[in-house]
Amino acid sequence: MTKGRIQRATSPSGAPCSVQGSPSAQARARTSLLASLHAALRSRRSFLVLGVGFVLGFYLIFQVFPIGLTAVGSFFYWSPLQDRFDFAGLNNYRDMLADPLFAKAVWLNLYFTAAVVALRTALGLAIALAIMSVWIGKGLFRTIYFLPVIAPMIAVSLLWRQLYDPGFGLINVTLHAFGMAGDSPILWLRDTRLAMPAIIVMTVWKEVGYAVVIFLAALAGVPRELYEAARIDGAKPGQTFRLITLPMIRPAMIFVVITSIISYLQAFGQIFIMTKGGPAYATFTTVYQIFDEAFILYNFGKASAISLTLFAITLVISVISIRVMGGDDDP
Amino acid sequence: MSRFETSQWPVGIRSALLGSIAACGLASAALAQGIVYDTDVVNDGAPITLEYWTPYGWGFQQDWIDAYTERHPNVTINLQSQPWGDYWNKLPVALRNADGPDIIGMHIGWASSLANMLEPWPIDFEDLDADYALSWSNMVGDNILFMNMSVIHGGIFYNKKHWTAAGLTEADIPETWDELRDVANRLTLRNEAGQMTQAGFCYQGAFRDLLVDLNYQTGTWNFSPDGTSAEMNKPAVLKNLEFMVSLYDDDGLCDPIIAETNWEGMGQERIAMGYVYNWVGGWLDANSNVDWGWFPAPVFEGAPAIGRNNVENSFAVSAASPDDKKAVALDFVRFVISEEDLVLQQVLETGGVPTLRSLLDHPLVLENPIAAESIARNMIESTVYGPIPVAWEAGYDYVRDIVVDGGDLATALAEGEAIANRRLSGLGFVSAERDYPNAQAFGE
Repeated sequence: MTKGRIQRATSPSGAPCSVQGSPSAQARARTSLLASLHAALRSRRSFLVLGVGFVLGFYLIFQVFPIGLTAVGSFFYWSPLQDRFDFAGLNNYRDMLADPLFAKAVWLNLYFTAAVVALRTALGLAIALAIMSVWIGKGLFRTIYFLPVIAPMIAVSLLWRQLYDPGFGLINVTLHAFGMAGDSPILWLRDTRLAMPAIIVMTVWKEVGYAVVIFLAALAGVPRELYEAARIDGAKPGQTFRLITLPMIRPAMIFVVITSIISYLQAFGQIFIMTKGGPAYATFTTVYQIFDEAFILYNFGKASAISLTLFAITLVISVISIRVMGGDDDP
Repeated sequence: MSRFETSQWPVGIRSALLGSIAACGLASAALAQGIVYDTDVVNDGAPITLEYWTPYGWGFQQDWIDAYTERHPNVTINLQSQPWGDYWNKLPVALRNADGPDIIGMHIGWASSLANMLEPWPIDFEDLDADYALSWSNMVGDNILFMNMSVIHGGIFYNKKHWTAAGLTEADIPETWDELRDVANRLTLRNEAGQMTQAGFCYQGAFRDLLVDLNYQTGTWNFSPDGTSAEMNKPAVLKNLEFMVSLYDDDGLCDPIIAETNWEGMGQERIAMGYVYNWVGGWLDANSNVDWGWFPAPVFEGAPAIGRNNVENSFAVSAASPDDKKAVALDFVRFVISEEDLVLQQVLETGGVPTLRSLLDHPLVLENPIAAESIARNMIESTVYGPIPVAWEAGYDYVRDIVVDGGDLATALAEGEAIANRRLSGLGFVSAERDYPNAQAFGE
C-alpha cells in the first residue's frame, strides 16, 4: 500500500522528480512531498506518533518549559531590567520568608479561598436543591445562575467596582434609601476591613452558578427510589438530605471543592481591577504579590520562588481536602 | 607635592592657564549652536517602518509623526497608545526581548529603571543646553537618553463659577494655607441633611504629591542624604500629614467619597477647588466644560521651596532596535526637538512650562494661565527637581490608605517608609533632590 502511494507520488508518468528543474517539476516535487505526508498519516502507527508528538510538544513548550524555567529562575537573581541572571542559591526563598508581605499575602489567600469555596459550595448546593424543588422553569433558573459564570471576570469586576462606589454606587444608594447607611457612606473598597469581604461577595456572586450546574447534574443522578424508600421508612427531610443526598453527590462536591481551591488560590483578576491589592495591602493575595514582584519591581527570581511556594501550598491543601472528604473512597 | 598643584607655578603661567581655560569655555559656548536638523534622506530612501509605543493619549505625538513622514515619505511610524499601567508592565520585558518599540513614550518616574535599555542620543550636551533649560535632567550618567519638553508641578485649580457664586474675586486668591482654609470654607456646600454637595478643597488623587510639596515647603527632604532611601518617618512629615488630615477632618473641606480624583470631581463640578498637577488643565478642557482658574499652591511662611517639579518626558529610543531603525528613530527625535512648532504642541497640550527657552515668551504659551503664572513666578527655579520612582510611591500610597481608614498616622509613616525602602532596594535609584539650588535653606 505504501509502495503504491510512493510510486504515485513519484510521478504520474513514472519519471523521476527533480527538485531543481522546471516549475512543473517543482510542482511535482511538492505533490510528492504532500503525498508522502498523506501516506504517513494514513499509517495508524505514524498517526499515533504524530498525534502524541504534537500533544507532547505542546505541553513541553507551553507547560513544562515555563514551569521548569520558573523553578530554575527561583534560584537566580533574575531581573530583565538589569539584564541579570546570576545564581542566588536559596536567597530568593530567604528573601520571600523574611518579607512580612509574603506572610500577609498567604494569610489573605487562605482567608479568601476558604470563604469563597465555603460560600460557593454551600450556596451552590442550596440553590441547586431549591431549583430541583420547583416544578417549572428549572432551565430558566439554571441559565440565570450560570450567566455570570460565562461573563468575563474583568467586566464583572468593573461593574462591581461601580456598584461599590461609596458616593453613587447602587449598593450604598439602596442602603441609604432604606435608612441602613448610617451617618457616613460605607467605603466598601477603601476600608481595610471591608475590601476583602466585598471582593469575596462579588466572586461568589459571579462563580456560584458553576457549582449550581454541577450540583443539579449530581442531584438529577440520585435514584428516586432511594427517596421513596426513605419516605416509606419515615425519614425526616434533614435525615434524607444527610443520609441520602449528601453521600450520593459527594463526588460532585469533591469536584467543586477541589477545583475551587485550585482556582481561588490563584485569584487575581478581580483584585487587580477592584483594589490593586489595597487599601494598605488588605487584598494583597499571593498571586497579586507575584504580579507585583514580577511586573512592578521586575524581581523575577523572587516572583518565581513565590510561584513555586504557591504551587506547593495548592498541592498540599488539595491533597488534604481530598483525604478529608474521602475522595479516595467510592461513594 | 604633585607637579599639578598650581599654587607652586609662577603667576604668569597661572594667568595664562586661566586665560586659556576661559577662552576655551567661551569658544565652546560660541560653538554651541543649538539643535540643528539638516537630514535630507534617511535609510538611503528605502522604505522603513518604526513602532512607537506610548502611554499617553496626547494628539501631538501623531502630529510629530505626520510632520516627520511628510519630510521623509519612505518612513512609516506606527503609533500605539496603551493604557498607563499595562504599558509600564510590558515595556521593560518587551525591550529586553527586543520585540518592543523603536520609539518609547517615556516618564521620568521610570528613568532609572529603563536607563540601560535606552539608546544614547548623538547630540552634544552644549547644543541641547543652548536651547533647553534643565537639559541635564535628560541625562543618566554621561548620556542624553530622553527629552524633557515641559515642566509641571502642583498648583490649585478652581471652578470660576463656584468662585463667583461664593462671592469671591481675584483678590481672594490665597497665598498662605490659612487663607486657603478660609476661602475653601466659603466654597464648601452641604445639603439640609448635612451631606457635602460641593467640596471646598480636596487633594483627591494627589495625596502623595501634596505631602511631598509640603515637606519641601517646610524644608524637609524626602530622601536620605545619599539619595538612595526614603525618609517618611520623621516629625516634620508627621506634622505635614496631620495638617493635611485636619483640612478634611477638622475643617470639613472635603469628603473623600465625593470623588476618587480631583480631576473627576472638578469635571463633575463636585469639587470647587483642588490641589493637583498642571496637566489637569488639559484634562478638564478635553473632558468637561468647566471654566477653571489656577494659582500656585499656597506656602508656609519662610518656605525654601514651593514644592517639587516633575518634567514631562517626551520620548526615548530603544537600544535593542536594529541599527537601521535606531538610526531613523534618533533622526526622528532630533527632528522633533529642533522644530519649535512641534515642541510648542507638546507644551500646550501638557499645560507645562516649556524647557525650550525660545518658547517662554510665546503668545500661545502665555495664553495658558498656568504657564503664564509659572513663568512669571520663575517656578522652575523655586521648585525642587527630582524624579521619584514608582517603587517609592507605594510607601505614601500605603499612608494614604491608612489615613482614609482612620489609622494612627505615626505608625502609618513608619510602615510606609519601610515599604518604600524595601521596594527601592536594588533599584539603583539616587534622588537628585539635594541638587536644588536653594538646598542650603532646608533645615535638615
